Amino acid sequence: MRVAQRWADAADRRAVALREIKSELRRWPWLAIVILAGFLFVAAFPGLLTPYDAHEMNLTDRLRPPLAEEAGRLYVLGTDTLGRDLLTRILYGARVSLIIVGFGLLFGGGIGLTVGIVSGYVGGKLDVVLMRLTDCFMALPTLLIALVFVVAVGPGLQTLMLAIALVVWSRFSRIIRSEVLMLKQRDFVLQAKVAGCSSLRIMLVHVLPNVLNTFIVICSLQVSQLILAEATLSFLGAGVPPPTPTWGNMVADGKDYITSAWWIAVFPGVALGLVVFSFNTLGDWLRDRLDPKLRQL
Amino acid sequence: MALLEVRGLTTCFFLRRGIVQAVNDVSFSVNTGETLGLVGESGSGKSITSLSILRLVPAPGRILSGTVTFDGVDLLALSEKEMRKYRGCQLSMILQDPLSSLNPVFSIGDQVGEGIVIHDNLKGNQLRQRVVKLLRWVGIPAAEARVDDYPHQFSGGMRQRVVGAVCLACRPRFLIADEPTTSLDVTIQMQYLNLLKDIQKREQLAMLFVTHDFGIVAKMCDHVAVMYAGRIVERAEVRAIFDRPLHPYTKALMSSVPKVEERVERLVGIEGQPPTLLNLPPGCSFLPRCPEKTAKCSSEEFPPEIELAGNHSVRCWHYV
Amino acid sequence: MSRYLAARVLQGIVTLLVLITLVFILTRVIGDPVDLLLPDSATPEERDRMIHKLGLDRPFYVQYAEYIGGLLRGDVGDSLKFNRPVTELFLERFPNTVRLALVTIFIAMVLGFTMGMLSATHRGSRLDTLFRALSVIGMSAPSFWVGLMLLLVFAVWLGIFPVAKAEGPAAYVLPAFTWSLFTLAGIARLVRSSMIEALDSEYVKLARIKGASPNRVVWKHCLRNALIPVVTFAGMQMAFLFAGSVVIESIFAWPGIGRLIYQGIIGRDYPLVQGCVLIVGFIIVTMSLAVDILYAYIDPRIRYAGGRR
Repeated sequence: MRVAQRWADAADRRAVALREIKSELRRWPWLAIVILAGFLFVAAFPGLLTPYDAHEMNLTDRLRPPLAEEAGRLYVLGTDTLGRDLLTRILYGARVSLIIVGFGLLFGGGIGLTVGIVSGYVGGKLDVVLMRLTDCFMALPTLLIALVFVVAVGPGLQTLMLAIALVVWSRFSRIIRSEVLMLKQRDFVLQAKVAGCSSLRIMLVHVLPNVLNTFIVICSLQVSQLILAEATLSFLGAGVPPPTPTWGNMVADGKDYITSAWWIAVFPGVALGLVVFSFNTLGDWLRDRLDPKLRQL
Repeated sequence: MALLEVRGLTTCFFLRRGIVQAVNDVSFSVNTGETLGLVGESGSGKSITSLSILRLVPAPGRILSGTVTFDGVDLLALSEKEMRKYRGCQLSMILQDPLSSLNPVFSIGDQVGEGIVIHDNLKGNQLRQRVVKLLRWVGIPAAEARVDDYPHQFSGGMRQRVVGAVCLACRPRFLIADEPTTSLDVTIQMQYLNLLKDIQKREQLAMLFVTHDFGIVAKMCDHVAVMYAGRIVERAEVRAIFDRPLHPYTKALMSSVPKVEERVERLVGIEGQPPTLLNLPPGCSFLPRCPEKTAKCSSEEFPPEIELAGNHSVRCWHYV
Repeated sequence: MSRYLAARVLQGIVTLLVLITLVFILTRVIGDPVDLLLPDSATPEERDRMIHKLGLDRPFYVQYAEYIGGLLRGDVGDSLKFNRPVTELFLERFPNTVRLALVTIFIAMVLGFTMGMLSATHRGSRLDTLFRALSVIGMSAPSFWVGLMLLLVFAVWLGIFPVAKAEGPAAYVLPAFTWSLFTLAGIARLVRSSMIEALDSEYVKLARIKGASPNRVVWKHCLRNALIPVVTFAGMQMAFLFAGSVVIESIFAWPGIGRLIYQGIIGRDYPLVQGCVLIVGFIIVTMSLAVDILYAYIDPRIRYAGGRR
């Protein structure tokens, strides 16, 4: 009888645990996760989803509407001004956006992280100077700085990445610094000092892992803004130059044909909106889960 | 007749996970000029009882049944608009944390005067004079000069006095004090309690003093009601409850605070945790933690109220 | 208070210096102005002559000093295509942008505020859910795309509003609404959350204890506390707003400074872009300062503490 009771209890516990896992998962932002998973997949393997090439021009098939069929070729979302399949270009465009934003964010985030940790840990005059610098950069209009940069240096993939890094680093440093200031007081840092660790080692081994949480949250909150920034720059002609497809310059292409071939401008914009929305939602959710203090962002 | 009489008050919170019976069939009364202490641990339902009297229970809570008779009028039967006339004017409540009870963007003069503006419709200089008088009354030094200062410019003890002025601005007849000294420094606590006692004597206030501290009860209260898991488990005059506590929970509460004069070998706590009020099981709620449980106690029903000599009543199977 | 002000003004000046220096470094040091001005087929002699003409063969600090000097005189360079000082071109078009900006800010504040308040006071209702969804969409949708869509639907298909710049208030609607979208959504979200925070606070509980009516609670007690983060947000949006003007004015062919910058980009007229950015930077820093002063007025904790919490 006792054994049976124990089995019954174990089954109860499993049921309760399962219910708890289910209710936990129900609170996850599934729509955003699915869209983003799709985005990443598409960016990584665009070739799997489309038989066409992003640059393959077919001048006889220019400006075909969605679901048009020409000589056995199906254009799901239509073609653009040079006869290129729109869906294909959108899929490859995901890759471009991801690369630019990914590297820009990592690079800029890396700078911001370093500045934040050093400024917070070392303190003193260095802290004051770095934070003043941060405040200045935060006050500056990011898009306009990026514009000047790109116009002066000439458009291109690397330029865009640098421009994004340049304007995004300041978003990290102040918040990371606050975290570091709080961490500095904690006992394990004191222990490390007592044990004779150098400042550099403490910063790398003890402080850095503890601010990664916040770093990730800020990254997720910034991604959507950066994607929009890259798209806007491309739209204005200051981003990635054609023929490389990016959602921004595709909308720019479609701008002049808005009345006759509306799909060229519409679909890339929809893709943009979905991805940005998903990053926003995910970023908000991550922030609420990991670090609600950042709410005012 | 008692100024405030609560009969069978029941307030529940309707959550997705179940029903929380925060206040369960609570009854007591308070006379003019007297203080009733409401004692219990956190989570026992004391604060919700106070909020229920003023009908300020936050959603998803609702008062399900009972009557709250103030000077012959059942407050629970009034419309919201009529109830607002009573709030601040006839009944008032001092909250626990003075820092968060005061709006940081308005001056203290503005906040003290607000009740007067609402109920007595005073304006301008008349209003200001009355506010300054009130501030002096609660012991704010240099009241005339400080009336336009902001809450963050005052210390904790001063802020709580300001809150006192806010609540007493319209000369209410009944005052609830919900753990008003809990967030104050120990040295300031005594001063504040003395102030409250003075004011009560002068105004002949009826007070409901919510606390978890029997020391404060001894100082401030005439009668005591002990709350556990949403119910009143013992009720008596102060003298009686100190001389002869009946309910095991009351005894445990009193003995868990060491007295300064006695040597204490070990601190005596109450075993276990206060029960979660969510989907409360039937029967005596103190049973899991009671050091005096007997066979009688495993009944499925909650013990009824038994009245013993001298207005001392208790809800415990031992006395049935 | 004056200590706070002095600190803020100093901060503003330093920011301007950083901007100016940054632009200088970006254009002269990293970029190569000569390449931008001359066609690829230029001979080395032509390049040398251009370098000498632009003064690029002199040491950097001399160039920097001249640059600062010029700025103090209000000279931010001359446009290549228009062949006129950028400052002139800017001031000609600035009023157009300001007019549109004022309408935009008005729309953003009024609509955003209303949405936020209604959301907060009807928390959990279907209206609240709708407004919250709209806010997220408003913050996610790319403004250039939304502008094009609105143009397509309302101007081209339905013919309600004019397609390109025309006279009269109708011309303001689409561009102002598009421009305000992000700010509007942000304000709505902020108002909603700070109102809810205020409504749940202890001081509101005390106000209710005093007998305050729901109206009084909302309009007197919550509003002021809710305004504080909104003002901060609106201040931060200033910079964003100017950047957005480039996009909006290019789509709606609005003759303001945004369009000017756009023409500069298309025409590779880098002195024009650079000059405009410098002027805009100056305006933004000044406006931020004004916002901070306003902020100090609304929140007394700053006034007396002499610094931001």
